[in-house]
Amino acid sequence: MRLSKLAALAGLPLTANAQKAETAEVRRVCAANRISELLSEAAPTTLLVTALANRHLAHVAELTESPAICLAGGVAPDAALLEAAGARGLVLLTSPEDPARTADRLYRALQSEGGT
Amino acid sequence: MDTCACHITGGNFDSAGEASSLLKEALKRIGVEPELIRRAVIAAYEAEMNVVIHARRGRLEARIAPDRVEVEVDDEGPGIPDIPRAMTEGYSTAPPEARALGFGAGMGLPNIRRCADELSLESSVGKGTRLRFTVLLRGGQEHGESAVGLEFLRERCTDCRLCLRACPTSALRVRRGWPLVLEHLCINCTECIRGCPAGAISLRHSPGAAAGAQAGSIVGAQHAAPLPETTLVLPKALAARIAESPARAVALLRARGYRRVLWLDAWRDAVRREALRFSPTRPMILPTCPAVVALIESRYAALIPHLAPVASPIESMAAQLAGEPLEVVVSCPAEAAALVARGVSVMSPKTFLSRFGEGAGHALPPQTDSAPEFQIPRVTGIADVIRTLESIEDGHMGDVPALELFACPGGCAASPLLRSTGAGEAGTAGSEIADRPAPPPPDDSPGTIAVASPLRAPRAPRPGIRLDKEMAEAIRKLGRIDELTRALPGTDCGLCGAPTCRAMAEDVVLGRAVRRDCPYFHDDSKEESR
Repeated sequence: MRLSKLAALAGLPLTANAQKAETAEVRRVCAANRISELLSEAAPTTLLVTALANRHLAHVAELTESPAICLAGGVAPDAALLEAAGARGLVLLTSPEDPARTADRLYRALQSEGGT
Repeated sequence: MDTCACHITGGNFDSAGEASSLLKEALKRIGVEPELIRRAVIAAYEAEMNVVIHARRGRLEARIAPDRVEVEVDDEGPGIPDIPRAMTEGYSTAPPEARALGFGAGMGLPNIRRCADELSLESSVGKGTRLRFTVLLRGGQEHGESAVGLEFLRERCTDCRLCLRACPTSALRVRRGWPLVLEHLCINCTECIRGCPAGAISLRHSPGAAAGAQAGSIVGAQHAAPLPETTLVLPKALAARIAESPARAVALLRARGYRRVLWLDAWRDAVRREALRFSPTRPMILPTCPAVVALIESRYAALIPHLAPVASPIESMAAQLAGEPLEVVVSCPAEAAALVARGVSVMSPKTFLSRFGEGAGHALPPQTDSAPEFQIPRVTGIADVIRTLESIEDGHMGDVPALELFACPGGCAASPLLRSTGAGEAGTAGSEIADRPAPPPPDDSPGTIAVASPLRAPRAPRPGIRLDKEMAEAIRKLGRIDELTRALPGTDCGLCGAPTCRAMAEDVVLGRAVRRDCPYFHDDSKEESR
């Protein structure tokens, strides 16, 4: 599913590189608050959901080619993450709910087109 | 061999990750496949962060060879007093500031272990730690074969592990819910594709160019048109899926830009004809199916003299048409691997049907490659093929002049790639095929007269299943595998990610896994010994 469509279905705002969401494809959602867990689950079509909000997330996305990160729990990206996301074309979304509820919301939206 | 190195400063979280990014760029530049890059850089990143979190300074050096990337990370730090404990998932000594950033999950070293094919860790308390790991880039190169032609679609995998059970050579493992293939064991049959209910395994595709195919690549659906003067070779059974007759299919494909359209079936007949001229050890086994040839070379080396000394149909075709622009629609990953190794562009049936449309024609029944005129007994399906090979190995079947063995049940025309019609290569179109009306009589292939080619080199055993190059060491490892197999529960449950307890024992002895991967194994005194 196109990330822009997924974000709209889940009601989550795009906060960085929104234009990239028109072409990014998401088939899977992974929620975790540990870098190692995100690393081991991320893939090129995985949307990462986390309550972290630092520049190391951008490294995770870069290394695993994940197209986007949803910052859950109402956290705001720090300046370093915004800069890194901009440099790497990483899409950022935000959610006021915690990672588990956010993942559930995204999962339900994805299910409408057969994602996991 | 290319080398990239980077100094790492302990405690400097701002620049952390740079060494891994450099390694990723280097691997991308030389065309390493994405999943292998992913494994290498995840392991490198975890190792790099360990230095940042725990040490004063360190250095990461990666040596990139055609078949492997070796990474060595040395640090000056406190050292690791208890390595087995440090390898335990969830155990961490990371300080609070690292945990606040999301590190310190106690998964760093276990992640490295999962991503690496080889791992060693030496540490001296108060001095520092040296971690070395290797990710194999092309496991098949060692014996002159191409890498496997399979792709695992992570987003479709449900971690059901049925693929573990399906693989006849125990070449699959599951690591953290993700299937991995031990390339030196894989024979490129289609059993895992057939056995995956989620359609998560398919023919591997490479990123394509805008038009035409790069030599040796697998043509993606995004390729708009063939290069000028390109010849297309495809199974006749597939042509019948795009038009009501093969002749109409040829006309359609030529109108879409192909100079010639040839049937792969012609080379199958040519190889049969040529093979029957020989009279090697009875029964002679025809090399029609490249997966069966790979199986014999890897598991039944004593039967290599039974193989007719001619190239397989796919190799014969590639040899005969060498030098001209060529695209080939393959029936299976084994054909794809053989062609990509020769620099021939390959197209999956799914791509072919998406480019030229499906539905106008009729599916041919699975027995279309039976070649009754040759009157060669056939055995199809990998389980029956293995039983047959074991029977021959036991000295039976000497009264049978020749045999044709196919890994796919029903032969090449019943390959799951050819039967796919849906989103994945592993579609379930069997009933659809059975329901369709019988096809009209096919026309003969126009153009080139197919010729079987001689072998480029004598067939030889593949060393893939050897435990060690040195016989004495191999015997020692075999003893350790037997010992460990007895210590494991023997349930073959697959929870460790290996298909059987014996495969798990072999993985431990060869450094691909640790005993703790088995959830039922309890022997702390011997933990992590390899």
